[in-house]
Amino acid sequence: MNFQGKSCKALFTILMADDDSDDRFLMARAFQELDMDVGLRFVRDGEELMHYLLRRGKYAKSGSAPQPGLIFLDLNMPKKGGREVLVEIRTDPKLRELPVVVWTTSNHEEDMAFCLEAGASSFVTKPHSYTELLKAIRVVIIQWLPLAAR
Amino acid sequence: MERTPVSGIHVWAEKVLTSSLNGLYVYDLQEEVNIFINPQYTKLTGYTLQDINSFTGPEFFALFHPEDHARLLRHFEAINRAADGDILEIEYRFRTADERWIWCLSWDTVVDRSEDGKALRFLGTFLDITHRKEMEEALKESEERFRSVLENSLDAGYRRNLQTDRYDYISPVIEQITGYTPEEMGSMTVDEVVKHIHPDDRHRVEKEIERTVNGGKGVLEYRFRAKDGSYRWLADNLSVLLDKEGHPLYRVGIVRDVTDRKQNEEALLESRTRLLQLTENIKEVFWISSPDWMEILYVNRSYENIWGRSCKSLYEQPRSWLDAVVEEDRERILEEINRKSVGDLSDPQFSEYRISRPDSSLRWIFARAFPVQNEKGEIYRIAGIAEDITERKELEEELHRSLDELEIRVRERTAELEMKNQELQDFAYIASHDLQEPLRKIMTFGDILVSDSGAALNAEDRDFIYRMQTSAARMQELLDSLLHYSRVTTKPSPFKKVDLRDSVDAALSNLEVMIQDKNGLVEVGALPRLEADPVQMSQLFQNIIGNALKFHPEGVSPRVKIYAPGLGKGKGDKKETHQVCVEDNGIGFDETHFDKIFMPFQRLHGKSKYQGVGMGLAICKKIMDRHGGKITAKSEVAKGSTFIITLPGRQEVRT
Repeated sequence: MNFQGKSCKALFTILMADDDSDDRFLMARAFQELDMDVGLRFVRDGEELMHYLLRRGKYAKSGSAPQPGLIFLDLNMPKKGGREVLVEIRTDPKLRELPVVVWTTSNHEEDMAFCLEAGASSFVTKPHSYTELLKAIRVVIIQWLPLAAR
Repeated sequence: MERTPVSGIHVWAEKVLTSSLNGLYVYDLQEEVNIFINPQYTKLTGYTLQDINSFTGPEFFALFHPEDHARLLRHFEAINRAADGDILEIEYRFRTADERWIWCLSWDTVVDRSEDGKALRFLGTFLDITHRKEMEEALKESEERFRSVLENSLDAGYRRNLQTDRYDYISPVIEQITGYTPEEMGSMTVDEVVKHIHPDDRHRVEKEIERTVNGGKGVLEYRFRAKDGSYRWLADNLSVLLDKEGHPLYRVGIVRDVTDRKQNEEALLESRTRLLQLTENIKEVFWISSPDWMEILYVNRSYENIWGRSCKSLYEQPRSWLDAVVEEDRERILEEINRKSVGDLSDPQFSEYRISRPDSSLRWIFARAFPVQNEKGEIYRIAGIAEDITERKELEEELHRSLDELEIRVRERTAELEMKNQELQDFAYIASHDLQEPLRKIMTFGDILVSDSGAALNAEDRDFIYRMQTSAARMQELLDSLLHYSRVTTKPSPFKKVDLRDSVDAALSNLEVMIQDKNGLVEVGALPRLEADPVQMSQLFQNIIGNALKFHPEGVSPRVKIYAPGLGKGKGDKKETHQVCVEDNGIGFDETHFDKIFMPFQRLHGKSKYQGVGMGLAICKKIMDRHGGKITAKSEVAKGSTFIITLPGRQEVRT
């Protein structure tokens, strides 16, 4: 499922990388419920994420892949994991400034420590209830979205 | 020469008298002069009749030895009283004209009497017995010397007259030796003497007597039955003396009691025999050599068995045993021997080496050599024992191999177990981690269901959803604690110096809300510093204090005391172990359940009354295991519990 935000012409694009369709579904639903003017796009793994960001493969045409202003990054994904992606983004001069929120099931200190060290903007353990999920998204948005997009 | 007529003496008789080889004289008792002497008299004494008669009476008497005067006076008295035909004998000393003393033996007989029968003149004839006298004197002297020596000696002497076949003399010492007095011995017949000799020795004694009977010396050793019936060993140093014609005259001998010597000899022989029996029968090589190892004085048969070389070859070439030592060992052994022979011989020497036998088989030898000292403390020999320890060596090697194998197997097994254990830990970790994923979805979608459609559902439906949510939450809790439990060993922090006070403070800060809710009071005393995992120490206290706050009776404020008994009494930080107690006034537990409380997911109370999954103390136990410490508890139901943790002050670096 490739859920698009409510408007393709949205000012702000959020890109979420997660192999779990349930999580993609919940995220899309949460954004819908929050009624935000953002374009939410999904990729299924780290490799696809890098293709998207670097406009490679099926994302070569610029129109199909608007540059995101924020990334939600799962850690455990097939092909290329979140940790690897994080390091690549932070070492790429063009992508270095892009805010990356690690959005993961893990609540382990070592994962947290690794990601912050590697340059993650935030680290969020996926909440155990829908209400908590909405709360967590709100916090992230307040922190990283420009006022106009909220 | 003036002739005094001699009545009754014929001219032919005078011729006899003058031509006799004995000195002759006729003495006149009235006139006190010699009225006749023959030429032999003059020859023997150097005096003529004229010379003799020129002496006055006292002067003549002075020619006789003063010691003999008394005897001579008695002799003259006897002559005065003598009957006709009586011949009176006397020995005396007489001074010759050249002033020699000669011994004379005289026979006097009265030849003329007065009317009233009084002796007037007597005829004397005498022999010069000086030579005989001197012989007798010498003999007597030597015999006396002999006797005095014998009688003061431990040896007995005897002289047996072979002509009479009786003992002339036996010294008194014989009684000390045989128990028989010289008289008792002397009265024994030859048969009786023989019966006293040990039957085994008789033949030898007889042979020796026979051999020496015609002159000669011999030494006889034989057993003689003493008066008390015991046999004494006698050594008879005998010789047979012959007369001039070569007839056996005496057998003289010195008899010594040599019983002690004989017994010593026998004992020595016996011990020597025993030693030989021993050395010839032991499996080990036994040898004796000169201190420089250049001469073999003795080696037993085992040398042939173990070395596979003859004893003879060793006697001939005393260092040939070294030829058999394998080359790698020979240099070392040679060095040891040289060092030992140079002087450092005081200690026994031990060495192990291999020898190669003529059949080219290898044997392991364990050798000991030790110095033998004489009475002066000088080392004059080296004795040694060499043992074939091949079988022992092989067994040892076998054992070593087995032990090595065993150790390898144990190590493999341990590694295997460690891996299994690690796998299990990893499994618990991964399982708890991955299981949370779907659980989170169940809870989240349940949430959405309730918020979107809650109003449309009936009460029962809503209750079902509530129960689903509760169960999911419970499972979440279980997974969390399982994760925690496994993380004690899968994700540990390194050990470092920890002030337990800091650990307790960290725990209390995490428990702050709970303490406030329960209106609890926690008192913390002085606590030690020790090497530990700081995160786990906080966890430990958090779990124990958390339990203390949780399990308390309703309406009673929890009171928790944390203290280290004995802190500061010992050497403080340097103490080997530290004890910390956490005491509460909670509900306590039955000590019969003591084993259960430290096991994962074990609960003593219903879920509804006290929350939790029963993992707290199991985690504590696991933390203590990792630290090489102990956790125990004392408790009484409704009175409270005390948890006692014991921790080492220092941690070994563990891999």
